[in-house]
Amino acid sequence: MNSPHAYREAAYTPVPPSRRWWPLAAREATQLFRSRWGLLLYGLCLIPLLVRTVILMIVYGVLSFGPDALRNRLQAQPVARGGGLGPELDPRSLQFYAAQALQPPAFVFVLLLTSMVVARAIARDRTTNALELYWTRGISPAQYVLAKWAGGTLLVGSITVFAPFLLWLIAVLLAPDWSLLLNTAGGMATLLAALALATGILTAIGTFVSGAAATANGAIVVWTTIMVGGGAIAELLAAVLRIPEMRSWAAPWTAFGVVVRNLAGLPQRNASVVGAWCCLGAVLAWSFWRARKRLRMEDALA
Amino acid sequence: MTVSLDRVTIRYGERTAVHDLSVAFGQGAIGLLGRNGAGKSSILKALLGLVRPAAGSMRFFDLPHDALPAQIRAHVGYMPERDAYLPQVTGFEMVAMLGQLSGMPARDAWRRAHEVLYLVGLDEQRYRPVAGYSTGTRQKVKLASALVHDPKVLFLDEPTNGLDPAGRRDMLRLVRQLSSDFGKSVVFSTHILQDVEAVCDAAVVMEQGRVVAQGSLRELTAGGERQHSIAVEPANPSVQRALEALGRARADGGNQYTLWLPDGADLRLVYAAVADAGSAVRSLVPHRRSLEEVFLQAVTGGAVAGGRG
Repeated sequence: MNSPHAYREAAYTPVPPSRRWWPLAAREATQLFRSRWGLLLYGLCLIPLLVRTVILMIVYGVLSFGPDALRNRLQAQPVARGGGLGPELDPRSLQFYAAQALQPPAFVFVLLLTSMVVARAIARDRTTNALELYWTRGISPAQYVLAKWAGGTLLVGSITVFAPFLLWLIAVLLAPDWSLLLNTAGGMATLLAALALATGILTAIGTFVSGAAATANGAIVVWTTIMVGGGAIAELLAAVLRIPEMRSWAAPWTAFGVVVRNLAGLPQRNASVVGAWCCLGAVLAWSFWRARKRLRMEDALA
Repeated sequence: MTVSLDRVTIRYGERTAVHDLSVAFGQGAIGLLGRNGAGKSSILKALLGLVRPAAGSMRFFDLPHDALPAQIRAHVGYMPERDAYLPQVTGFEMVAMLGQLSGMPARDAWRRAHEVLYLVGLDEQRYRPVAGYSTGTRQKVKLASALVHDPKVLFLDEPTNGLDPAGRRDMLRLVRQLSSDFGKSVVFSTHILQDVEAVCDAAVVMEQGRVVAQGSLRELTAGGERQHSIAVEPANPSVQRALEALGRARADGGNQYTLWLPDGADLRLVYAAVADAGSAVRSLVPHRRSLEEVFLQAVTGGAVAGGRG
């Protein structure tokens, strides 16, 4: 403290309290990109987008590599006419873009991303006593949680919402005419809204799990248990009870897909929409209750 | 008064941390003294709105009684006692972020973060991750974070924890400067009495959640008995009896004595008593009471001049 600089008064126009949480949300959304591991992780999460972009390019004749048989099948008529590989691989179907966020590989990447960012968001701050610094500023604990949730949602949403939108945009640009745009624009908007809503619910659960955990590693374990363990229990119940719909009731990730497909009006089999909403609602309520208990001022700062 | 508490009680579950406490913090630096668990941090947390008092009321500046915690915190810079930092950010980013969360626009927060980090003595270090800082450097970053939004009042909770002697001296000098030169009200919570003596104009002594003494340091150290070192010539055994007739006296060997007299006692009586004993006073040095004496007397239940809470 031997600085020659003297203390000066600060003159500034204060930002309204309702907007002060935004810098924290923005930092939360971009925190992953500050480390090489984070960049690598995000790069991995973009693999499904790259694969589907390649499929698009093959379908629209931009690329012509690969086995002839596969290329011919990709470029064949839509599945409705019996020639293609399925609606998940047909760019003219909304399911092609929904699959980008809902099919099994997406689960792995979303799980990785949410584990490393969302589930650690608050627990990490608790470990370094940062809660005491945040909460003695111009934001309330509720705004703090909102910022953490919004940041996490923006990041995860870039994979679950923005990536399908980008894929669709590429498809529209590559398509030979405007028919793809005209036929899918309305459905795509609904699909993106459904994905955004479901992503928000998923990251809210992750944020609350983080708020309830004592340590960042503990939060990752609980979050992974909910996502993977829930799926395993759901599979077991579905097999034992021979009720495939049980997957919607007990597996949050399956419930996520069921809710999105239902809201977007996409066909699905062996799904219980009520069960999916109940599953997400129950986990959300439980995690909220736990987080609320752990994030009370007296307890969080004791 | 800048900040005042009126009959405030703070409870954590069944445990009462602060009991029916009334105290006011005005301009200047005020030491909040007490042993660990005396309730110092609880008061600061209540003032910041982090803990809701079970009873009583608090008043900040001219803000209404029902002012929102966010309104209050806009005027307060808080340096927590615990090691606290934002994970995965540099010192500069931490201070700038906390400035933004206090309501500063981004550009102002960045510029101000550089200023206050320079002020506390962090030059190139501010671009390194906070997690890698030493305890002393983190203390400096916490102080910079408390100053970034230019608050009227600073609540510093054990700010010299973990600092080496040079760092401690610099920290105390800066705090003193902030209070005397820049008009900041500083509430300096600590259990290190020398820090309070070095920085503060007044002190509040707490014990088991109650104020046991408060007042300016001059008032606090002036009250009660006052110690005097006396040298007589020639040495004479009857001098001690003469001094004991005036007050509490102790022979320190040779011709040296220590005498405790009530504050304000007429010292001419000492000269007369020593002369009657057949000696003369060669030197008589009155000592002010140290804050340590005041503190020990207060927390062990003795009366302290300057006011009891």
